[in-house]
Formats: sequence, C-alpha cells, structure tokens
Amino acid sequence: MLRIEDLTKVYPNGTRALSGVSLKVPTGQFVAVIGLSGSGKSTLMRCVNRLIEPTSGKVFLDDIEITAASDMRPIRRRIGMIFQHFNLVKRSTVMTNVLSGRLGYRSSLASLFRVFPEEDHADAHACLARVGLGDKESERADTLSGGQQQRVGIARALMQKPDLILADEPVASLDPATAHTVLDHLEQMNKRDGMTVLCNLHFLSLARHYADRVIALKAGEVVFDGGPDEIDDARFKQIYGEHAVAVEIA
Amino acid sequence: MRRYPILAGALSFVVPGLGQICAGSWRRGLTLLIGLPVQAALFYGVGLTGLIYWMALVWAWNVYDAARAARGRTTSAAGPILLILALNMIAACTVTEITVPSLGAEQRNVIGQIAGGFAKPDVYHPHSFDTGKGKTGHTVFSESVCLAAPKMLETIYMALLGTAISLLFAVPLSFFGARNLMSGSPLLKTIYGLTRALFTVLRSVEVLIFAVIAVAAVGIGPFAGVLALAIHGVGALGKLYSEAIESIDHGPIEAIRATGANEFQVVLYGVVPQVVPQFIAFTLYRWDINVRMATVIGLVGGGGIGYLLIQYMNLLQWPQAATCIWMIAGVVMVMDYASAVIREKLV
Repeated sequence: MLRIEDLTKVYPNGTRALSGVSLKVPTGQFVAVIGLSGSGKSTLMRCVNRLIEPTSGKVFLDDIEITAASDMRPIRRRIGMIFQHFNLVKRSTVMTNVLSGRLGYRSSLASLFRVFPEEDHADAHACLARVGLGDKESERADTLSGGQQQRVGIARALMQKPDLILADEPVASLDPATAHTVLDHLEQMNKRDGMTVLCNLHFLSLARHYADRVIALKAGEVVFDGGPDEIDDARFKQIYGEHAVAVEIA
Repeated sequence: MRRYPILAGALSFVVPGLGQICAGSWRRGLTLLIGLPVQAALFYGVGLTGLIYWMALVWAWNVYDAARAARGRTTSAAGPILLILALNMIAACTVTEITVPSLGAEQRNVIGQIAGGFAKPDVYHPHSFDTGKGKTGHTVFSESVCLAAPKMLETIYMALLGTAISLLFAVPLSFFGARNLMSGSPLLKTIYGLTRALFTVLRSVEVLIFAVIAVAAVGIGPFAGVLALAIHGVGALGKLYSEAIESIDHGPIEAIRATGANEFQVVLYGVVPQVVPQFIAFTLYRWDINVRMATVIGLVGGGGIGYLLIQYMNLLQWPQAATCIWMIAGVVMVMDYASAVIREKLV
C-alpha cells in the first residue's frame, strides 16, 4: 500500500507543482497518472522516492513513513524507477547498467572495485533475458535503439526486486509499436510479480488499455480519480482543457 | 538646434563635442569633449607635442560632424578613429624606442651571429685523431647535443611527473568543484565555492612564479620545476575536470540515485563513466603544455633543458643555444601532434 497525504511541493522559484495531493494505492494496482505537461506528474513521482524533497505532506510505503526516513537506501531499493529518456549511462555496457540496479544492496568498497557477487551476475542475465536482450549484455548502451534502451532501464529496475515501480513517461520518446512492448513488460511485472505500478502517461488511450485506475492531475491537484472507463468527453475536457481533442494511439 | 547647423558647428569649433551634445548626439559629443583633451594630454605627457597639431584634422571633422548632427544626420567616424590610432602607433614607436635607425652596426652584427647560430646549430663535430699510421677521422655529435639530449629527456619527465602529481590532487578535488554535484545544501555550496577559489588562485599564478618560489624552498634543480608544474597544474586541471563534470547528463545520476545507491556509488557509476574520456584528453593536453612550460622553468633554475639554454645564451654561444631551441621545437611539435591525434580518438 502506497499512501500519500496532503503532499505539497513549492519550488524555490515559487512554482506550486503539487498542492495537497492525497492518494491511496493498494498493493498490486496499476495506476496511470495523466495530465498536461507541468501538471505535477513528474514531481509527484519524485516526491515518492524523494529525488525531490516535498515541501509538506507525508508519503507512506506500507507502514514506513518515507518522508520521515533518515536513510533512504532501504526504501529506494524497494522502488524501481523508469524514465522518459531511459537515463542509462551511455558509455557503459548494458551489463554494467543492469548491475547498477543492485547498488542499493552492495557496499561502497565492493562497488569501488566494480565487484558484484555471482548471484548478481546471474540475476542480471535473467533480467536481460526477460526483456529480450539476452544477447546484448556486452554492447555499449548508446548503441541500442530507443526501445531496447528502455528495456535495459526496466531490467535495471527489476534488479532492485522492487515492490513499487515508478514509471515517468516511459513511452513518451518511443514509437507506438515499441511503446506497447515496453508497457506490456510493465503489465507483466504488475500482473505476474504483483508489483504496484504508478505510471505517468500522455495518452489516455494507453491509460485505458493498461491501467486499473486513472488519476488526473491539473495544476498540482487531483481532478479525477477512478476507473479508466469513467473518463467521458466532459471529464476529458475538464482535465485537458476546453480545446483538447483526444488522440488515439493504437 | 535641429535647424541651426552653423551654430552647432560654431559651438563645436569653440568646444569640441558641444555642438553634437546640443544637437542630441550625447555619446559622440561626450566622447569628443573628454577624449580629445585626454588624448592631447597623453601626447604632451610623452613629449610629442608635434602629434597634437595633427589632431586639428579631428577638430575639423568634429565641426563638420556637429553641423551634420544638427541636420539629424550621422557621419562615419572611421576616418578620425584611424587617424587617432595611427598617431598613437607613432607615439608607441617613439616611446618604446624601436626606431629602425637605432639598429647600429654592432646590433646588426649580434643579430647576424644569432641568425647564423640558428641556421647552423652546433650538432656535429669533426673528430680526428692520430693512430700513429697517419690521421683518421669521423664525425660525432657535438658536446651541446650530448648535454642537451639528456636535459630534454629530463624536461619531458619533469612534465610527466608534474602532470601526474596535479592529476592525483585535481581528480578528487574536481568533484567538490562541480556545481551540479554540490548544490544540495549550503555546506556543499560553500565547499564548492572554496574549491573553485583554490583552483583560481593556483591557476592565476604563473608557473614561472611558482618555480622561483620552489627554487628558493628546495634549491635549484628539476625537483623545484616539478613542484611548480604540479602546483599550477592542480588549478588548471581542476577547473577543466570540474567543468567536464558540470557538463554531464544528469539523467543517469538521477537513475542511479533512485536505485538506492549512496552518493559515493552515484559518483562512481553515474558520473565517472561519463567523464573519463574528457579527463584523459585534458590530462594529455596538460602534459603537452607542461613540456613547453618545463623548458622555460629552467631559466629560473628549475631544471630541465632551459637551465642549459640560459647558460649558452648568457655566454653568447648561439649555435649551442640554437641546438637546444631546435630540440625543444622538435619535441613540442611531436607532442602537439601526438596528443591531438589521441584526443581526437577519445572524445
């Protein structure tokens, strides 16, 4: 269970990215977060694992208060994150990128000498095989296509053995076919492994296809929270503004 | 004033720039009003009153310009600016005493000797001896080559060691001097500011000055030179490294941090792989610069080939000095080329 209480984030320049967001996400739910650019979706994600420090409010993962934790290490390794621009270390190999998902479990000294136990290497192989990149481990990350890079990103998140996945616009830089491959992987992690998924999406059609529940943000506030089928034309205009037209993505 | 060009011209005739000011050309008017007297004072100060007469041309232009300004037109100032520049060039030549006639017979003789030395550096010596059954002979490298070659090697090694010591200190420091890594808290920002200040101080003091200090501290010799190169290099390399770190992609850092990695691991896995090629390129570049610097350091007693060179020059042994200079030029050329090739491959 992920519980967010009255979460507010005001940036130093005065931008109010989130104001009083409260949510409860039961374990194993696939939640799509939609909304315009600048509506606070990315800020919400980063406040959950505290890559961004919230101004006020609380976040709980099960019974642990994330916002009060002094050591984020044991919490962050339970939360996998996937990014719009993949955020791989481009010059490192695919294998090194995947192994870095285990850093939260390993000591500074061992990582200084780039030593990972045999178990980690075996897991990394398994994760890469799972996303269909078993043969790419020794390639440099930047030689891969966009879809392949995002799958490396997923493998890196899988290495954390996470309970919660934060996916920040995971398919916004990909073509429609590749987007489905990536979201299928997320769906599988959700359905087969029981991971809770919080996923920012631009396209409502994708949210309808994959999500159990849709949360819409507008100017940092929750303006809709319900089933994907409940979003009708009126709701849509409320979220995206009067002049918006729904774009279908097959 | 717009309709009185003659009045404006008259005003500028009496006080340069006044006509322009009254006509609304503030900036040009003030420049003339202040600039002309200051320029005249400068010429008077260096005792070149003759040049002041030439400024009458600028004065005349100023009257013409004022009249045009009153009609709302602007005149190109290129002519008077070029004239003033030319007058200042004449003044500069006089002040620095580089007039051509001062190259008397004696100076011409010295220049001839120097040029001769460069054209025919002291490289080979005929070596002949008597075997008892008549004279035999062959050519050997001259004494100056035999002295300079090991000194040249010493110079290259001084540069190498100086660069290595700088690297040792600059690499760890550079992470503290990178704004993107040090913006988390006021304490980190302070450390960032202090690190950058240290780099600036070390970098702004010339190697030669450090060399003089080092010679005083540890005595004449290559060790002093190495110290000087190392200290200056920490500032120079540290700044370059820090800027390389600042220019990296922030995405991977965020991703590694999100896995639960600690800050040390974030730097190791998110930052280091991104900056390694640039660090290597900058280090090679520094070694290249240090070889050139190391040749000069010898002039103040810091070891290396410069020490030999200054001795030859003081004794007016131009062919021997030329041997050293040609050797330096050759080595610098090779290093320039080699480091450029390697850097191109890396980045």
